[in-house]
This record gives sequence, C-alpha cells and structure tokens, in this order.
Amino acid sequence: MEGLSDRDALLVERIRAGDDRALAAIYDQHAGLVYGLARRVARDEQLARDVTQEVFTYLWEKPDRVDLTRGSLRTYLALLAHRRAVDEVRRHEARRRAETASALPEPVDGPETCVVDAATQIWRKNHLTSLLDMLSAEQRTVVQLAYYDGLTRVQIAKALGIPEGTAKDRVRSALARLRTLLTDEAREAIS
Amino acid sequence: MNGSPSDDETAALLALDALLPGEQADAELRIGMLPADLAGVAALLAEETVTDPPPELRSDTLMRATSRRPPGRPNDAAQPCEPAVAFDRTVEDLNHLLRSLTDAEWSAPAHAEHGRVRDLLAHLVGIERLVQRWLDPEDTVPDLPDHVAATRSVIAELADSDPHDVASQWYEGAHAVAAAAAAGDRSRMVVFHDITISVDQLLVTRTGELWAHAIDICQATGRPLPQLDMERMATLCTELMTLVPLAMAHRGTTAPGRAARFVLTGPAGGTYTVPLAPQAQTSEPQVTIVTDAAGLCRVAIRRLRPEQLGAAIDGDRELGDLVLAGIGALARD
Repeated sequence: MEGLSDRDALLVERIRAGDDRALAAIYDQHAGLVYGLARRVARDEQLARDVTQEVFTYLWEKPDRVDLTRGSLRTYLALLAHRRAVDEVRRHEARRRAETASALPEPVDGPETCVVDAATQIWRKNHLTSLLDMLSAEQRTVVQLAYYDGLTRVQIAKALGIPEGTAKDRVRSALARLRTLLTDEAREAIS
Repeated sequence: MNGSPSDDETAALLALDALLPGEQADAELRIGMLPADLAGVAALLAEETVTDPPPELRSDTLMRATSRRPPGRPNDAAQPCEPAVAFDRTVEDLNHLLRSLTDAEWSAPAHAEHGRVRDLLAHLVGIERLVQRWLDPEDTVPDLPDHVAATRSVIAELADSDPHDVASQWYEGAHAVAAAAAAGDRSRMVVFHDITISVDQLLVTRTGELWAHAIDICQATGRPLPQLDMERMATLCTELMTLVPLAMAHRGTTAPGRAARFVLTGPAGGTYTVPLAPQAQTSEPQVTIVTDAAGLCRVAIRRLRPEQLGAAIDGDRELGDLVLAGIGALARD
C-alpha cells in the first residue's frame, strides 16, 4: 500500500514538474488546516485569506524547500502557515502603530500580538511546566532524560538500570499522557 | 526541569512528539533541528483548528500561484535545444565512443538483429545513406518500411571492411544528413521508413536511434550507459509528447476523444495533456501518468520496458498501460 510519505513525495514531484492539478489536490487536502491556523493566529478573516494564498503560492514557486525527511507535507504547510500568520500579524500591527503613532501617547501591544504571545511564549513557559508536573514521577524522569538531557532510549535504560523496552514504554506513555493533556489544553483555548 | 536556554526548542520537540506519538523513536535526531516556533504550531494542531476556507479562496489561491509561476514547465526547467543541435551532439558523442573501442570490442555481439558492434555501425551507414535520399525532394527512393531489412545489404557490403573505415563512413554520412536537413524548411514533411514526419521530428527520432545504439555498444563492451544532457533530453521529451497521437495510430491503439496527462519529472520534464488519436482536439484527460522524463525517453527508444518505468498511473489504469505500451511505437533501431 502506498504510504503517506510516498503520496506526499509524488505530489511534490508533480508540483516540481509544473502540474497545477497537484497543487489543487494539495489545497483540497490541507487548506482547512492552513486557513484554520492562519485565522486562529491572526484573528482576522482577510489576513487568514492572504496567508492561505501565500502559503500555497510559496509551495508552488519553491517546491524544493519541502524536506520530507523532516516531516510530512501537512506538517510543513502548518509550520509555514503559522510563521506567515505571525509575520502578517506583526506587519499589520506595525503598520497600525505607525498610522496611529501621533494620536497615541504611548505604544501598546495590540490584541493580535497578545494572541501570538499566548500561542508561542506563555504556552511554552508556563503550561508546559504545569503539564509536566501532572505526569507521574517515573514519566517525568524519562522525559527529563530524553528531552532535557538529550539521552537516547538506550542511554536512559542504562542510567535507570531498566530494560530498553521498559524505557521506551515509559517515554511512550509519558508522551501519550501529554498528548491527552495538550488536546484538552487546545480545546480549552479554543472555547 | 525549567529555565535552561534551550527551553523553547525542547518544548517544541516535546510538544510535537506528544501530538504525534508515532514519531518519538527518532526524537533524539531532531533535537537541535526544530525551529522554536514549532511549539506554537504543535500546540495549535488540534482538530478544532481545521476550518473550511471560504469556497472562492480555492480559485483565488490557484490563480495567484499560477500567475507567479505558469504551469506546464518544471521549476528548474532545462531549455530544449534545436533538434539539429541535439542530432549533432549525439553524433559527436557516438563518434567519441567509437574512437575508444579496442579491436576486440568491434566484434562484440551488440544487437539481436544487426549483429556485432561493427555490423551495428554498418547498419547506421546504411541508414545515413537512406535518410540523405529521403531528405532530397528530387529523389524517388522507395519507402522501405522495414528498418532492419533496409540495411542488410549494407551490412553485408561492409562485413570485411576495417571497422575504423566503417566508423569514418558513418560519421561522414551523419554530417551529410545534418547538412541536408539544414538545407531546406525544417517543418517540411519527409518519409522515414513507414512514417511521415517533419524534418525536425526526423532529427529527434535519429537522435533517439543514435542514443539507443550507443547504449547497445556500451552494454556490449561493459561501459557505463551513455546519458544525454538535459537540453537534449528536454528536446526529446517535447517532441515525444507531440508524437504520442501518431505513435498510438501506428500501433493501432488510438483512443479518439480521449486524452492522457503526462507529468514528467526532472529538469527535462514538464506537464503535457495529449490527445490519443491524430488530428484530435485535446480533451479532459482520463488518465494521469507521472514518471521520470529520462526514463520515459528510454521507453521511447525501446531501451526500457514500460513495466520497468515505475510510473504512477492515476485514473483509467488500462488506458495508461495502453499509452505507455505505445510510446516506443515510432522507434526505429
């Protein structure tokens, strides 16, 4: 059976060869994610449309930038959408500030910037720490070793004196737990 | 567990892995490679984020993209060269190969029907003689539909000649063909065995034939297979696409009213929609064939079987197989 990465690779090859139907197929598959991400970050319908157009146009113009060894096409497009949305919000905000500079006594952050900050900074610093605190001690230890100390699964097993399979299971269960917590977090943020 | 300078990166990695549990096995490899902003993306990658875009955004987006880069050509496209240039370069390549052959290699078996390397070259001497006559509008040479039979007498005539003399005869003959082709209107139609094509198409077909026989000689003598440069490959692809309807007709497998979309990958490739019968209008394609441009050219010169191509066929599979089977119908080697 053809794998997801094979399908992605074929679609990117078709884009390289100038096949606009491949671009349409990619749009149909991923536009919901790109547009949704852009709208969520930008909180502006027109900006989200611009970002969506820019993301797919960039893919069409620069298909060689896609590196499928680092992730799926969907991940690449999501990353691109997020970056472009943040850029657009900042540009939009800078323009707005420039236009109103003389009328305002002091420059202040607009709501769009706050949204971006919430998504990229507060979440990282605060929520991640609190989410990690909700793991069991065993799970926290393996996450510490794997992600903060950079140990491989084999090295974790050796450090803790446990079989390699057990180390893998603990990391997997820790990530599964985090996944659940993150999904709840996202739902809460959206609502 | 917090406060280190690489918190953002670590958080990004952890968040991505948490959202995609199947990817944690290679997590170590990705430490230090992920951009910090990925954390934000990962956090937002909940299903609720997916939102149907406004319907009109689809056409707006596709129009904007194709206005920036027109469809049809690869983004790193090689420019096709003139058919006459493709023929000249291929003559020079083959001549260079012939000059490198040892005495023993001239007698290596090279072709199922023509025979040894030296016989193959005698066959080419015969073809150059015929093509010169076909290019002469005053000449009344018969069509000679059988490409192999047409040169048997020349192979017999040159069987005892010094192979280096045969090589010289071929080289001079090929140059005479190039001169005759350049002498008149290159769009004029000429006979080539049992097909009628333009002079430019004849030169491209001959380029393919010389390439095919260079492959035969290299295989017979244990040399690496010869490659054409991208400009020549682009010329071959472009002409090949225009000849698909004729090839289908020649094989007796036309599909009037139907069309195939070829997506040829690589710098020599491009995207083409071709009708599957001569003189037919291009219609909505029933099948899309995605394949390597260089590989398809090797199928066209019958040095690769269609099933070896590994083409991805989308749509009418049976029609796709039929089209690929017909691609080599105009090869004469």
